[in-house]
Amino acid sequence: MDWLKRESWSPYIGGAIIGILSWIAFLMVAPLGASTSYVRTSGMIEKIFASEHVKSLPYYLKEVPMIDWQWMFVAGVLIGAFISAWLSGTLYKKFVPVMWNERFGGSRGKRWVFAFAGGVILMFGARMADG
Amino acid sequence: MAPFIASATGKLLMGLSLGVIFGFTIHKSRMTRYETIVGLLRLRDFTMLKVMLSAIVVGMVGIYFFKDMGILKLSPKSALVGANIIGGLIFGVGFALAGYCPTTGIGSIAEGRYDALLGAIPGMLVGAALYAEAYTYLRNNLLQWGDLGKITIPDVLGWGFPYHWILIFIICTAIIVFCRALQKRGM
Repeated sequence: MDWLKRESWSPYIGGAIIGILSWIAFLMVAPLGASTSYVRTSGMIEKIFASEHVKSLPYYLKEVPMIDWQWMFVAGVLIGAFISAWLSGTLYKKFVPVMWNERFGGSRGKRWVFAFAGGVILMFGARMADG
Repeated sequence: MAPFIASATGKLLMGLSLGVIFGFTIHKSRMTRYETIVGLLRLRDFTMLKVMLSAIVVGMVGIYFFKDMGILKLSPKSALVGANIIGGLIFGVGFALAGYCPTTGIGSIAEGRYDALLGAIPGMLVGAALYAEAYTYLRNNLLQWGDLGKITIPDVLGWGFPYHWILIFIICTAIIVFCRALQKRGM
């Protein structure tokens, strides 16, 4: 079972496994996806503070804030990636990626600002494109 | 087994199990690393492209095979030319700044990337909430532009079974030739 402890696999093998997972998801439930789960999570958090407002938004009627199978898929990704990193001994505590550090320096605050802003922008675009 | 999978709990467990294997695989494929994502955008590391292209080859062949067997139905989303292009451009800007994507970013948290845990992922939740606000206004304009409906490439070409296999063969061959060229150049 050494292959489970390898730090990485061939990207072609990884892609093939993802392709097969897409068949299984299609056959059993529905196509795989993660970004809808962010909408559902945001809705669930917002509901704590502004339940009436959430009920009034058409988007949350379309993507109901609840835990569905795709949400569980995202939870599974967290577990699976953790097991892989743990088995391969590559769990670490990194605040600034190496490549970012080489170009923009080691400031955690600066990296945080760009990671956060990037996250906001990318998800807004992803939902607009319905991806 | 089939009734269990179709039940609500069955679906949730199915999602969780698929996620565990998916998460394991993307970590082993180095997709959880900031360097892999930004490396592709800088045209220095083609790992992510190789993963995506081989997933497309394997996924496409299997899904069309099962479709032709009559045990799977495609569920394409509407092609919204305006929203797809503008949303895609916005996504690209954020993707390059963050260096994480919604699915792989979860794996990045798992391997201990605090800029994903504290920065990118909370940012994505805020982005989703902002879009939920914007949707009320966008649905009557931007989201109507260039709505081509739920189409697929074989539909547009009018190539049903068995002719869509010609198209699948061409796409797979092109991808394999491209990947071989990358490997030959040591990329």
